[in-house]
Amino acid sequence: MGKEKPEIEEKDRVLVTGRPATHRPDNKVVTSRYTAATFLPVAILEQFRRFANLYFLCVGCIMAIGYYTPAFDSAINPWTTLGPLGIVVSFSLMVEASADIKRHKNDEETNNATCVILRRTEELEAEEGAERDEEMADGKDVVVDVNTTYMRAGDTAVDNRPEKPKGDSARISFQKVRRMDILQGQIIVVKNREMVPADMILIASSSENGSSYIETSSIDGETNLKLRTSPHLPTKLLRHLKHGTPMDEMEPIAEGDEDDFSGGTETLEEATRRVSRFSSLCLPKGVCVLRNPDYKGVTTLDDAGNDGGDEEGMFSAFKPHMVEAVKKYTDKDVPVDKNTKYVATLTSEPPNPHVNTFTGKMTLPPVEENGECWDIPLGAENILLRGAVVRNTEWVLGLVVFTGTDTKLVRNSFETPSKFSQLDKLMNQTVLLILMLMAVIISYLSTQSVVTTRRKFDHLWYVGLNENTSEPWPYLPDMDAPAWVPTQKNWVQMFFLFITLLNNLVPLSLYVTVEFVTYCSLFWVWADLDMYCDQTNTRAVARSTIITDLGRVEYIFSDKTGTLTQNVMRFKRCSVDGMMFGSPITKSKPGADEAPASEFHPLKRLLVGNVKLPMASGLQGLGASSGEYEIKADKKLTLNAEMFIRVLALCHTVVVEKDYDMKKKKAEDGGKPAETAPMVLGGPQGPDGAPLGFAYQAESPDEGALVSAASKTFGFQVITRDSSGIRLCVKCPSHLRDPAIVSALKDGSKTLLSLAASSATNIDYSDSPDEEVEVVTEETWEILAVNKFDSDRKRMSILLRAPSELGSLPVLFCKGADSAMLDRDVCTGLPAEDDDAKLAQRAFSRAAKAIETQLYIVGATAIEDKLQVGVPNTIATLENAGIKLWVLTGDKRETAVEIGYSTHVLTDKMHLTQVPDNGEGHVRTQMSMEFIRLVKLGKLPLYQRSIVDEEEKMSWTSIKFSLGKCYRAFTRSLRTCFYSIFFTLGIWKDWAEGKLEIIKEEEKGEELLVPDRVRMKRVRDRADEVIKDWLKSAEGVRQRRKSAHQSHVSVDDAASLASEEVPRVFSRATSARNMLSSLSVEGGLSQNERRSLSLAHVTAANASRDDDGPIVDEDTLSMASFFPDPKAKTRGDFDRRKRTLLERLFAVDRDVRKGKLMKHMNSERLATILEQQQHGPGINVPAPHDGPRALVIEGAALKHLLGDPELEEVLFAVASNCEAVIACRVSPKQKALLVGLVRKKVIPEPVTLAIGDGANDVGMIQEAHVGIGISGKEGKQAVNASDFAIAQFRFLESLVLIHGRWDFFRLSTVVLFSFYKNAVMVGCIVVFSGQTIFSGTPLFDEWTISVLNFICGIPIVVLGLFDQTLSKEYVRKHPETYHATRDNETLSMRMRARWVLICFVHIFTIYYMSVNPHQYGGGYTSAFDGLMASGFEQIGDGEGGDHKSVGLVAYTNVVSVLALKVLFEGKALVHGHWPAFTCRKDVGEGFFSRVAYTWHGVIWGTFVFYIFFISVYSILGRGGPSPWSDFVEVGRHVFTTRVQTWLLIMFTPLVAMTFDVVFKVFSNMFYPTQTQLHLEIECNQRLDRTLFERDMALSSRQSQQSQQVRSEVQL
Amino acid sequence: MPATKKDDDDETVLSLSEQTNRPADVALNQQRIAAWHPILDPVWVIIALFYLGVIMVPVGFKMQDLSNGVVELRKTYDSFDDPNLRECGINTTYNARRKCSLEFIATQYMEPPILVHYELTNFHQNHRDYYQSRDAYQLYGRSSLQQTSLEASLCDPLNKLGNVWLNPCGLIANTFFNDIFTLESGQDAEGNTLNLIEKGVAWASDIEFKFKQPDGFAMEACENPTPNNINADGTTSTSCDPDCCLAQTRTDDTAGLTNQSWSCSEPAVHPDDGKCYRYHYPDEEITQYLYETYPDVVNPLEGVTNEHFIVWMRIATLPTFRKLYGYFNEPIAKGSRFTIQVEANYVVESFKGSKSIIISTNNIFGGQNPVLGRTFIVVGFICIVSGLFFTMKHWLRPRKLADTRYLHFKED
Repeated sequence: MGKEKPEIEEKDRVLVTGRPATHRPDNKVVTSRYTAATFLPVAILEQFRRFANLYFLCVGCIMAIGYYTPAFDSAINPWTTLGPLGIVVSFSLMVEASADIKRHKNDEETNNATCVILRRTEELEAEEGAERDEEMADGKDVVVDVNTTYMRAGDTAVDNRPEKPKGDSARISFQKVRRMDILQGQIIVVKNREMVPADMILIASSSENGSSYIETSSIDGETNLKLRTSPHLPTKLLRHLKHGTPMDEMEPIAEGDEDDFSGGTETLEEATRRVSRFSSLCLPKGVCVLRNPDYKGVTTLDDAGNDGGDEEGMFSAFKPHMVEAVKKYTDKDVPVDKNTKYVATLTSEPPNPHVNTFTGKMTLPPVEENGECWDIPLGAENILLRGAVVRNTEWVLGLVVFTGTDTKLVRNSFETPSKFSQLDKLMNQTVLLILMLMAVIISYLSTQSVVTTRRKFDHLWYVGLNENTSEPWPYLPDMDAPAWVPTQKNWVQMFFLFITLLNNLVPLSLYVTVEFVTYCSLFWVWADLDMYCDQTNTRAVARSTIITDLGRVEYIFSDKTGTLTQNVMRFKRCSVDGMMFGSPITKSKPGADEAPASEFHPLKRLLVGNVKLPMASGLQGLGASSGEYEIKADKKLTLNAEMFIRVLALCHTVVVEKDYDMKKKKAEDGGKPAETAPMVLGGPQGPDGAPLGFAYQAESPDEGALVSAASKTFGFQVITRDSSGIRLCVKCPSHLRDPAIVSALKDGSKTLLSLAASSATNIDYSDSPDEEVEVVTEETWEILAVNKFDSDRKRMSILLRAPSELGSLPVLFCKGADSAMLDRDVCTGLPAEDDDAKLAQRAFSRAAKAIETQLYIVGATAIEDKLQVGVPNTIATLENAGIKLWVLTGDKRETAVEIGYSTHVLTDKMHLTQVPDNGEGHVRTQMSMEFIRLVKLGKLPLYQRSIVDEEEKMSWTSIKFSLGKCYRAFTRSLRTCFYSIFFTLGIWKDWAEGKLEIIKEEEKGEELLVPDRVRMKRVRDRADEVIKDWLKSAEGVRQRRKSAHQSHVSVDDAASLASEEVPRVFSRATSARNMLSSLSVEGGLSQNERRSLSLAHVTAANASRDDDGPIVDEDTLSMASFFPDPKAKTRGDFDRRKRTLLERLFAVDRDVRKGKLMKHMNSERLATILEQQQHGPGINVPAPHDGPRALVIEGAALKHLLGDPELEEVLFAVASNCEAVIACRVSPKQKALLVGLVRKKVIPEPVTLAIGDGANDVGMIQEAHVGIGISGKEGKQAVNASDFAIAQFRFLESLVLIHGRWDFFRLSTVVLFSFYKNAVMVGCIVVFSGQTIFSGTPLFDEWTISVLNFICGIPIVVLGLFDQTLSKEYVRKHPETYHATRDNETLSMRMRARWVLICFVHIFTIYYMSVNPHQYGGGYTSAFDGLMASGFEQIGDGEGGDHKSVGLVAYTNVVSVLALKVLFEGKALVHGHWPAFTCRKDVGEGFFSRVAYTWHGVIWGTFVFYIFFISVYSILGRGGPSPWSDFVEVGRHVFTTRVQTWLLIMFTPLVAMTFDVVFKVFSNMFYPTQTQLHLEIECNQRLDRTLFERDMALSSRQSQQSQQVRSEVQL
Repeated sequence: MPATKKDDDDETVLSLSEQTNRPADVALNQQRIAAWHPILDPVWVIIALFYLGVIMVPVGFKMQDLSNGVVELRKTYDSFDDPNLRECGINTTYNARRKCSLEFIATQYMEPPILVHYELTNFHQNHRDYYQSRDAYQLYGRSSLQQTSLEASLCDPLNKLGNVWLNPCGLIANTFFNDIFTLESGQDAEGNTLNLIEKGVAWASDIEFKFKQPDGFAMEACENPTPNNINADGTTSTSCDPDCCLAQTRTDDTAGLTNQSWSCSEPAVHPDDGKCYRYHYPDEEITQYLYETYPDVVNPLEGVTNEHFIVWMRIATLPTFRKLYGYFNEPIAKGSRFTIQVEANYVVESFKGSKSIIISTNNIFGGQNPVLGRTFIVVGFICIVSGLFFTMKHWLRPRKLADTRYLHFKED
C-alpha cells in the first residue's frame, strides 16, 4: 500500500451488508514511505534523482574507473568527490529516515486503535482471540428473531409460502477489533467524539431519526458541525424492520402517518436488531438482493437510466456490468430459487477522491408478497467519512463502504505538486549551459593535449613516451628496456581525464547552499512579527520553497470574500414594507448616490411598526404596494415584517449547537445536549452573535448572520434544528394565529400580497387581547423539504409546515441573491399548491426551479462584509510596486465595482472599461475597440501597423523560429522511427501506439505555430474585422448616428482621455506635424509620405461630418478609418499606410507629453518638468499623464472571448495594459482558467500570484506560480494547496515586497556567486593546463579543491541569510523599488555578462599573480631569518617554486578573492553591534544577534577556518606515507618562510577587488541600476536624516509652487 | 455613527498571554541586525584609486630596484637551441662525465647567503604522468617488492626493468639531475677559500617525513673508519679499506646480519663525518638502488635521503625552473673570480631544453624577480588611469549620487 496505487476500478461496487468483502483492501493505512528493508535502496535512489547528486555520483564513478583501472587516468582522487557527496547524501538520508520513523509511529497508532464491529456470536466464539467489547450493551448479545417472510423472493402463489419458523433467532455480539482489520460490508459502532475509522453509511444512531452530527475539520478544515442522516426508509419498511413483524400482520398505518419518516429514537439494541435484520448477520446464507429476479434495477436498466432526466443519476447507477459484479463477488455458486433468502445490498460509486459527493443506493428485499425491492437512494448526507469525528451523538451504526486506500480521505490526500521557481529553472538552465561549456573546454583541452603531445612526442621520453620500445632507459643502459608507452593517450582518454579534472565547474555546493538559504528564508517568513496576526494568533507559514518567485510577481489574482473582505457577515440593513432599517449607506464610490441618513430607521423599529414615512423610491420593486401610507403606532409587526423575520429564522441550514459555553468547560461531557432555558432578546451573547448557550454552525457566514439577527435582534430565536423541524422561541405575536388569515390563505381566497397590504395599512389582528402582553411562545416548524443553496440557482428554499397553533399551513420560504430572486419574482412566500410530502424526496430537488416561482417578496436584507484591515493601503502599495491586480469574484458587477473602489483596486483616475455580458458581438466588439484604442495610444507598440505590416525580414527571431521548427521536426522523426520499430515488432504495442499518437498531436500543434509577427498581424486584423462587422450591423449604425464623439460601445468612453490631457488632437496633430517636418529635414521621411499625411484634413473632415461639435478624439479618428463612408472624401487618402503613420504620430506625441522626448516639448512644459526635477523632493513621482486603465469583465462575457486564440490575445493584450482587472461572476474553474491563460498568453510569461481563502480558490492557487492561502475562517483547503499561508491580506505587502524582494536578491546572488566561485577555481586549473602540455595536472592540491565548496560556501550562505538590499522601511515607503526584482535586475543579461567578465579578470589576476612570480625561483629570503625560527631550519626551506607551494599560494588567493568578493556583493554588511560583547540593554538583542553574524566574523572566520584546515591537512602527512603525504608541511613552508608569498597573498585580492570596484563604478556611473539609485538615496537619507527632512520641507514648498506653475500652464 | 464605530472595534487583539504563537521580537528573527550599507561613492573610489596608484607605482619601482640590486650570475652551459651556449654540452651521451670549468665574476659585492641554483628549461616536471610517478611508500622505506598494484601503476613504466626492481621507482627518481658542481677555485671577500655548502638545500620536513632508507638497510662503521686519501697512482681521492666489507675481524652482529650479507663491494665514506662505513641493502641482487643508478651523486649510505635527490623530487610548477644546489656562506667581493667545475651527466638535448647555473644573492623577497615590481607598476598605472577616467567623467558629466532623474517609475 502506501505508495502503490490502489486497484483501479471504474465500475460501481456492490456490497452485501454485514458480509465482509475480503477481496477488497482492509482498513490499514500506510503513510510511511519506506520499510527497514526498502529504506536504503529506495531512499538512496531517491537522492540520486536529484540532478546534482547524480552528476557528482557519475563523475565520482568516472574518477574511480580512471583511478583503479587502466582504461584512462583520473586527474584527481575519486574520494575527493565521493567523500563530500557521501556526506551530503547521508545527511539527507538521516533527515529522511527520522521523518519516516515518525510516520511509522503515527501509522501504527492509527492502525492499532480499537473499534467495535457487529459479529454473529457463533462466528465470534469460533474465532480464536476474538475479543468481545464489554462496554457495548453491557457485553451482552443482541438477539434478533429472524423473520423469514420478507426475505423471500415472493414471486409465487400464496400456497408456496413456507411455514413461518417461529423463534428462529440470531445472536449478534459486539467485537473489539483493531481499526486496520475493518472490512468493507461490516457494520461498525462509533461512539461520541470518536473518529470514524472508515467511510461508512450512517444507518442508525442514538439521535432522533438516526441522524448524527459530525465535525470534518481533518477532512476539509471546516469546523462547523454538519448533520448527517440515515437513509430515509419508507414508513412501512421502517416499521417492519423495527418490529420484525411481517407486513401482513402489521397494523394498518394510520392515514395521517403514512408519510411519517421519523423513526424516533432507538436504543443501541433496537438499532442493532433493526439493522441486522436485513443483513448477512442474521442471514449468513442470504443471497444478494440484486439477484432477485423481481428486482427491476437489473432488468429495466434503460428505463432507470432515463428516469425523467434525473440529474443525480442515483437510479441510473445500476448498469449491465453490475450483474457480473454481483455474480463475481457475491454468492457465486448459490442458485437462485423461490426459497432463496435475500439480504440487503449496497451499491455505491467506485472509490474516488471527492469528499463532498457520494452516490449509491441501498437495496432492501421486498417485505411482502409480490412486493417490490426497496431502492433507498444514498447521498453525501448519509455518509460519514474516515477522519470525521462524531459529535452530539451517543453512538452511530454504520455500514462500511470504503476502507483503507479506498477511503475518500486517503484518495483525496495527494502531495501538492511541487512548483519550480524561476530561479530553479535558471539554475538548471545554467547548469546545463555550464555542462555544455565544460564539454567545449574539455574537448578543446583534449584536442590540444593530443596535438601538443604528438608534436613534442620525441622529447617527452621522461614521461615514459617512446615509440622504440626496445630502447633502454637512458640512465640504465645496461638493463632491460622499460615498459615504454609507445603511443600517447588518445582523445577519449584525455576527454575523460579532463572531465575528472574540471568536474568542479558545476558547483557541488550550489544546490545545498540554495536549499539551506531557502529554508532559512522560510524561517524568516515564519518568524516575522510583521506577518503575525495578533487577532487569531497565527503566523505566516511557508509551505513551499519557491520563495524567490515572490520577488518577481507581476500579476496578483485575488479572491474577494474572505481575502479582501473579512467574511465576517453582519446584518446591517433591511428593507421591509418599503422602508429602510439599519445604519445609512456611506459613500464608497465616487459619484455614487448617497441616500440621506434620515431615511433609515434603527433595526429594532422593525418590530414596532409605527413608522410613518413615504416609501423610499428605490425600493418600489420590493413587493409592497406603492404610494404613501401609514402604519399605526400599535407596537405590532406588520405581516410582511413577521414573514420577513420568519424567513430569517426558518429558511436556513444552520446547525444549532447547545450549551456552547458549558461544553467549553467540560469537553468530555458530550452526551445529550442539556435543555437550556432559551435566552431571549437582549440576553447575553456568545462569541458569534448567537445568544448565550447556543452556537449557530452555519455553512456560510451570511446565513449565520441572518439567523443571529433573527434570534438576537428580532426575538425569533432558533432553539433547535434537526432534519425534521425547527423550534423557535418567539417573543412576538403572530398574524398566523388568526384563523381567518390561515383559512383565507388555505382556500386561496386571499393572497399573501393582499393580506400584507391590509396588515400594513392596519387592520384586524391587533384586537386580540392576550397578544398585548409580551408572551414568549415556542413553536415547532416541521421541515418538509430543504432545497439547498447552490451557486447556479443562487438561492435556497425550505418547505415547512407551520405548527398547528399557527394553522399547520405549509409554507415555502425562499431566500437568495437579489438578481436570482428578482428575475424570478421570488424572495420569500407561500406555495400556490398544496404540499405533497413525497415531493420532498427527489422530485422536489428536481422541481426546485419550478417550485421557486410565484413567490411573494417580503423584504430585502443588506449584509455587510467588512474589509480586512489595511486592504486599501496594501493594494495601493502593491500597485505602486507595479503589480497588476486582478480581483476574481463571484459577485455581480455592481458589487464588484463597489468593492473595487472601496479597496482602492479602482481609483478615481482610472479609466474604467466595463464589459457586461450582453451578447457575443457586443463583447467582442468592445474588447476589439479597447484593443485598437490602446494600439493607437501607442501602448501596444507591437501591434501597430508599422510593425505588423512590415515585410518579413530575416531576423534573429525568425531564424530562431525556423531553427526551432526544424529541430522539433527532426526530433519528432527520430522518435517516430524509434516507436515505429516497437510498433511493428509488436513489443509494447500499446505503449508505442500511445507515443505515436502524442507525436501526431504535436505535429498538429506545430502547424498552428506561427511566427510572432504573423500572429500579431492576425490578431490586429481580427480586431479590425470585428469592429467593422459590428459597425456594419444594424446596432452599430444606430450607435454611430447617435453620437460621434462618444465611443460606440462602452458608455464611459467619454472619460477615456483624462481631463489633464489638454492638447487635443488638433494641437497634437500640429505638434506632431511639426515634428514630422523636423524629421523629414533630417532625411527620415520622404516628401511623398509627408504629403500623403493630410492629417489636418482628415481630422477636419471628421469633425465637420457631425454636428455634435468639433471635439474629435483619437477614438473617433480611429473609428473613421474603419467604416467606408461615401461622403467622406478622405477615404482614398486615408489608407493603411497613413494610418500607420498616424499611429506612430500618436505614439510619439504621447511620448512627448510624458516627457520622454524632451527636445520636442514646448517650452512651458519643459520648464515645468525641469523645475519639478530640480526642486523635487527625494523622490519625485511625475504625475501620470496617461490615466491608468482598469477593466471590469463578467465571467459570462469571458466565454465569448475564450476559445478563440486571436480574441484571447486581444483580451490579454488589453488586460495586461490595465492596472487592475476585476472579473466578476466567475466560477472557481474560470478563476483557475484565467490564471492559466495569463501565464500562457502574456508574453513573456509573467510570474503570477494567486491569493484566496476558500476551497473555490484552490484551482487558482495551484495554477499560479505562487499560491497563497489565507489561514482564515473558511477551512484549510486553500491553505493546504498553497505555497504560503498568511492570516491577512495586508501581510502580502511584507511577504512580497520585503521577503520576496530580499530573498530574490539574496538567492540570485548566492546562485551567481556559486557558479562564479567554482568557475574561478576551475579557470585557474584550465589556464595552468597550458603549462603542462595539457596533461591534466591540477594546479591545486586535489583535496583542497574539494573543500573549496565548504570554505567559500560559508560567506555566501551568510550573505544569503542576512543581506538586505534596501531596508524594510525604505522599501515600504518606496514600493517602486520592487521593479528591480520584477524586472530580474540581478539576473539580467548585463549582470550575468558582468559576472562572466569579472570571473575572467579574476582568473587571470589570480593566476598571473600567484604562478608567474615563481618562475624565477622562490629563493631564500633573509627577512624571516631569526624571525620565524620555528619554520626555518635550513636554507632549503626557503625554496618555494614547487608545485604544491605555488598551488597553495594560488589557492589561498582564490579563497581570499572569493571571500572579499562576497563582501562586495552584499548590499548591507551585517555587523551587529560593536563592540560585540557589550551588555547594552537593547530590547530583543540576543547574543547571537550581536556576535555571530558579523561580517567581520564571517570573513575573518573564513580565513581562520581556511588556515586551520590547511594546518591540519599539512600535519596529516606526518605519520608517514598516505594520500596526504605530498602535502606534508607545505602549509608551514608557504605561510612561514617567505615574504614574497605574503606579498602575493595580500596583494592579489587587493588587485582583484580593484578591478571589481572599477567595473562597478564604471557601471554605476554610466548605467546605474534602479536598485543602485535607491541604495544611494537610502544612503543619503541615512547619512543625514535631518538634512533630508529639511530638504523635504523645502521641496514640498517648491512643489506647491511648481504645481501652481503647472496649473497656470494648463490654463 | 456610534453604531458603526462599535462595529469597527470588533478587531479584538488577543491579550499577550493568549498570543502563544507570537514570534520572538529579537533582532535576529526580525532581520534587524545592525548593518552598514556602504555605497560606492565615485568620489571616494576616485580618491582610493589615486591613492592606490600613487602608492603602488613607486613601490613597484622600488621593488624593481630591489630586484635589480640582487646580484645574479648566470651561465647557461648546455642548450639545445643555442650552439653558442654549449660550453659543457654532452649531446646524447648520458653520464658522460664531461668536466668543464665555468668562471664567474662577481659584478657586485655579494652578501651571503649566496645561492647556487641550477635551472632547466623546457622540462615538464609538471606533466601529469611525470608528476605522479612515484611511490611514496617506497621512498619512505618500504621495499619495492611490497608495492601494491596501484602504486605500481603510478610508477609505470619504471617499476622493474627485466627482473630488477627499481628502488625508488618511477619517472622522477630515474631522471634525476645528476650534474655535479664543485667549486674549483674562489675566494671570499676576506680572502679565504670559498666553500660550496651542499647540505641543507632540501626542506627539512621532506627529509624528516618523506624519505627514508629502505627497511632492512643497515650500516656500520668500519673497524678502520678513516679513509685513506692517497690512491695507488698518487692522486687524491677518498676511499675506504675494502676489507671493511668482508669484516672477517668483526664478530659482533649488531644488525642481525651475517658477515656475508654486508653486500657492498666496497665500503663508503659517510659525507657527514667522513668515516668509512660498510652497509647493507635488502634484496640487493634483484633491486637497482638509487646509489647504483647515480653512483657519482648519491652516496650509498644516504640513498634516497640525499638532499639533491629530495630537491629534485619536489616537483617544479613550471617547465622552466630553478632548484637549489648549494650555497656560499661567505661574502664575495666585487670583481672577484671563482670557478665552478661542472661534471656534465644530464642530457638536455633529449628534451630540447637547456641547463644553467645561477649564483645569486637575495633580498627580502628572494632572488632577482622582475615580475613583482612590474605587476605593481602596471596595476598602479591601471588605477591611476581609471581614476583619471572617472574623474573626467565625474567632472564633465557627473551623475550625482541619488539622482532621482534616473528612476523610472512605471513601465508603460
